[in-house]
Amino acid sequence: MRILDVTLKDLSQIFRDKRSLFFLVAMPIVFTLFMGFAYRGGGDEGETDMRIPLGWVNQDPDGIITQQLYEMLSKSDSVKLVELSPEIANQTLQDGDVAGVLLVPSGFSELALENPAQLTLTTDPASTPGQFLNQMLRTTVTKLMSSVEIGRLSAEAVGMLDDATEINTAFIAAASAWAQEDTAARVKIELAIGKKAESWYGDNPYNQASPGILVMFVIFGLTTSGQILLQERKSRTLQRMITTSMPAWQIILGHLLAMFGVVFLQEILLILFGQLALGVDYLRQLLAVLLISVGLGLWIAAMGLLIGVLAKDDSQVTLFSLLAMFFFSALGGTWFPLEAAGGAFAVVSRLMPSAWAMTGYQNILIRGLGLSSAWLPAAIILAYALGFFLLAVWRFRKSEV
Amino acid sequence: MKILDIAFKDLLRSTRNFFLIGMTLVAPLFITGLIYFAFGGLQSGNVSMTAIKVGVVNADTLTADAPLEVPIGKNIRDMFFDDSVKSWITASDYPDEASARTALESQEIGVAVIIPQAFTEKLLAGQTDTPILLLQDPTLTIAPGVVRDMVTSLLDGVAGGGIAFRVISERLQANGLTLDSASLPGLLERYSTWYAGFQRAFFYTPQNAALVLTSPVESGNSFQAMMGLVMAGQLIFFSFFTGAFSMMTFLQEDEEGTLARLFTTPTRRTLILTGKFLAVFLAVVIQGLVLLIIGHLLFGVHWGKPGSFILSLLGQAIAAVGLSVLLISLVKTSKQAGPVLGGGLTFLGMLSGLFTTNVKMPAAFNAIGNFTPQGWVLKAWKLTLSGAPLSQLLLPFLVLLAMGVVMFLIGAVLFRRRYA
Amino acid sequence: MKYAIEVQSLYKSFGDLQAVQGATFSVETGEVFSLLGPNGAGKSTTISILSGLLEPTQGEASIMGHSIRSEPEETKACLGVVPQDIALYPDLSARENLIFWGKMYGLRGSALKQRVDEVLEIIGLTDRQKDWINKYSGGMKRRVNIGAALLHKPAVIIMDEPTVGIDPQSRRHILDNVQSLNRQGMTVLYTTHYMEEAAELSQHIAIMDQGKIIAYGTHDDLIRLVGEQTRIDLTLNVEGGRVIDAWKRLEGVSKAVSEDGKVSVLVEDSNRVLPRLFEAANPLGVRILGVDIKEPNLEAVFMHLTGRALRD
Repeated sequence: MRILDVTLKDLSQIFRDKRSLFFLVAMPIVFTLFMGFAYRGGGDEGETDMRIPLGWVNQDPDGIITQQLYEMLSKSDSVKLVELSPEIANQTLQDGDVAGVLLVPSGFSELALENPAQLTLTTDPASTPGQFLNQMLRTTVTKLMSSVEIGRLSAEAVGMLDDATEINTAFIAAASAWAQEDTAARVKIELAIGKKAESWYGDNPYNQASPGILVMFVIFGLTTSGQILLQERKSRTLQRMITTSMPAWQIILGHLLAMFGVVFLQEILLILFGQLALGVDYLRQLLAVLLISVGLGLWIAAMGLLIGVLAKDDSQVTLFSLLAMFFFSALGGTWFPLEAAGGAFAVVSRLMPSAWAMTGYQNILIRGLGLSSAWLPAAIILAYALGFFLLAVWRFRKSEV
Repeated sequence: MKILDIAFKDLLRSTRNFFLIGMTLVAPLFITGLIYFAFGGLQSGNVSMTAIKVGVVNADTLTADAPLEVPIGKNIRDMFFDDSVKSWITASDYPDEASARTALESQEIGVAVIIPQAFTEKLLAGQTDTPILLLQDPTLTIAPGVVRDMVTSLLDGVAGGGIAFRVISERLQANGLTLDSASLPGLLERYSTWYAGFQRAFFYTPQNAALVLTSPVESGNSFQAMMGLVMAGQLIFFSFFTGAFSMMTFLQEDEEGTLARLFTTPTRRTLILTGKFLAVFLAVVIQGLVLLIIGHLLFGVHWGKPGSFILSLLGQAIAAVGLSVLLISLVKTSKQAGPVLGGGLTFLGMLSGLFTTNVKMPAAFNAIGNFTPQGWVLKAWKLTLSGAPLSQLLLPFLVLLAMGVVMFLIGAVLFRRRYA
Repeated sequence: MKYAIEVQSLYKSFGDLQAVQGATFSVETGEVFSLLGPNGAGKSTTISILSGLLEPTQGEASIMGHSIRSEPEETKACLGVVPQDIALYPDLSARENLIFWGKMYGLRGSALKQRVDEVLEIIGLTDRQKDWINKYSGGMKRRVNIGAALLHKPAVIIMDEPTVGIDPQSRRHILDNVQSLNRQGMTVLYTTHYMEEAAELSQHIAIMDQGKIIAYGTHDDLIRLVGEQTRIDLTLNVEGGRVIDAWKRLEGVSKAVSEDGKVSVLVEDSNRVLPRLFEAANPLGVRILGVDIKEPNLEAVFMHLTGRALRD
């Protein structure tokens, strides 16, 4: 009973601090909205042209191969050609009016027939549009040069290798055949979703943003958790508590429950917000979501306990909490997909409880799996919670209160 | 002289402020370091991404009269098991779709490639009703994209062969010639060889490929460019943070009583205010310089031309000080300042695009960045990192100067009124 | 110069609140002058005006002949201020604090260094000069707080209740310091609500209450205001409110105040009045548990002038 007295006392102190409540609830909501907006792909409602603008600098205007390339790109529904002169091309790229610039050098068509010819794509390879342009143009250039090669082979087969007209005719025929070829139709892509409900929101952009922000801000809740114990030490009320007949483990447990209570409440609020306002279907597997959320809350509470034991003042609590947030958020895959990271990073991240929390939520929200998919993530997170808790207790016993 | 004394005293206290040092230097370097750790393998151009786990179900067989020796399905399957991709693809065979789906659900694999029966036969007959099925883990984007590209690239090769066959046949006919069945395979073989070499060039000798990719950045590779942008984002966010929290010394001194004590000395209030503002400015500049140097030494970031990055840094410092003075003039106690500064700066940073530099945002959103100081600082650093000349930095610098001065003046007036 | 500080009809109001109302006093050069009064009397406001932190609503004051209104910088140059609360940088050492404050008073170079060494010696913290202020005890912080006001050897030093909340030993140390500084020729304006401090230290005392100077003079001059009246403090078995009205009506009782379970009475002749007090108390069921007869002091003066205890 006294454990609960400690817990309730802590909770009442926390809820009197409006500033902390703001950080606990309002900030993550704002972030979730913002990141979901960004994940949506940046399309304006009513924006009619979603194609990526590609600067076209043509120094071979009369070349037949160049003209064919222009035609292929003009018909594309994923890029929009923007004709530019060489003088302004770079500036246009830097201004962001085009995502890349394709330079067709002088004599390209002639060179392509006889020798390897090169086109140059200038773009930011680190950006998503840049990567898309590179990939898309490779496919297009492959088809174009394939047509050139077929033209050459055909001319050779009819014994007219020196006849430019024959080569061009065969080239055009090959290019036309490519235009009718739909390789993409030979590949069907399907998401492996466990169980699709009738109204499946699996492609809701907030499915990725909501759990990611939830995990990140729940970790930031360490600040509040850590403050609980620190304030007790600073005000000397912890020392006073120790002089009572209440065992040390009960004191710690009381505080831990308060920390867990705050974090869990934050999780519930964010889950409800996601469910009601953003259409993220957490409730489709309520038990699974609760299981992961409880594990996550206990882990954060245990870490908060450790920080509260280690930190000497408010600023240390804030700093430790922030660094923990950065560390576990990045390694948990809340900032960028872990599949994009290097091998070593991905290996380390697999060990992180934050990554397992993300996996747990993603299993439910995106993979459409059930309760059974939550057991392993929850078990791992709880193991971390236990580890941090034991560490905190050990440190608490060692320290001079 | 007293201005410098006050500024130096504030700077000295800043260096002893564990929290400020942590947020000024440790946090941005830590974040950048994490990202460097995540993507560092890409620096040398070696792809050291997480291995893509692919499961292959190949039900494709050849009919007795098929013109090919090996089913296309086998070619697709073998492509994933080839030695050349072993370092980044881990492939496994599965007997059927059900077992592949199970493996997907348990995350043993990220993508399953299901090659249906009679795929080759249907493909050669021009039928598209039995496509290859790519089952993907819905949380992944890169791995499925890579696998899709590999499969379509191979199918393009096959399609190209078919087109070559058709076009050559047509042209022979058009020229009144007959198809030589002995030489045709040789021509098709040459086409295949050409196609294979053409594709390989993209990966192994990109500088000799038909499409050459160049970056608009001045020097360094794309990874360095990415790290530059990441570090610039951190630099901007945390420099405004440094400015704001350095300005908090005003409130702290007020609460400590040392500000009132300063006012009892024969030191003009204007001098006192100026000294404190100078400390904030110097803190932001010093932080910027330290991060620039460490960014270059540790993460290999090329900061562009010296004149450009000095101008960007100065503009950033002026804007950061101006905004800090304004924000602090609006709060009364250091306790109030926490959420105002922390929340306000984070919100402004968000609106300025500091957290979405690689994401395509709506045009309306991008326009918001034109009204925030962080947005203009980001513009300046992007130009600097891309090697833009000094002349192009003038506009952002002048905007930052104007914004900084206006914000500073408003804040300074409010301060003077409060401490008159 | 006869007077180091001259205050003439000083007024200060904050909205409807009149914090200082027509304060007028002068501090002779080289003396210790106490401003005595309870909390909220207007002492700190008066000090803040003289220190240049507040502007008076009306009136004038000068320090060493410099007007606080028209010559603020000159005023501050000859003034050292010891604020009531510790006003030091907790994350700087004592030495670093003193160096900084010395610079703010215009000291530089070797002169500054030498003076800092001297002040550290005066306040007895030479051995701990490199420790940060936040590591000091309360008494040590107070000493540095005083030291920072002495660096520029001011002609006048204002000390605003420097002994509040500290232990008796440190308090004694501070009082000794004040006397030592005075012996060296420094004029001291000392505010306090402890009458024994004012009595011990000062050549002249001004008693302040509710923004007004209600009495001004030497200690003996002020005591004479209450004449030969003696103060008797009586401890009762009940709250004083029950009996105080009856005692006020008794012959020979000039004032009666109830405070903290005790009743203080000003009487002409304690031998005569004391029995009457017992007689008046008995019918009311009030028992007198303790009697303390005190010679006239500033406490009595304050009570005589205001009808309230100095510590109300």
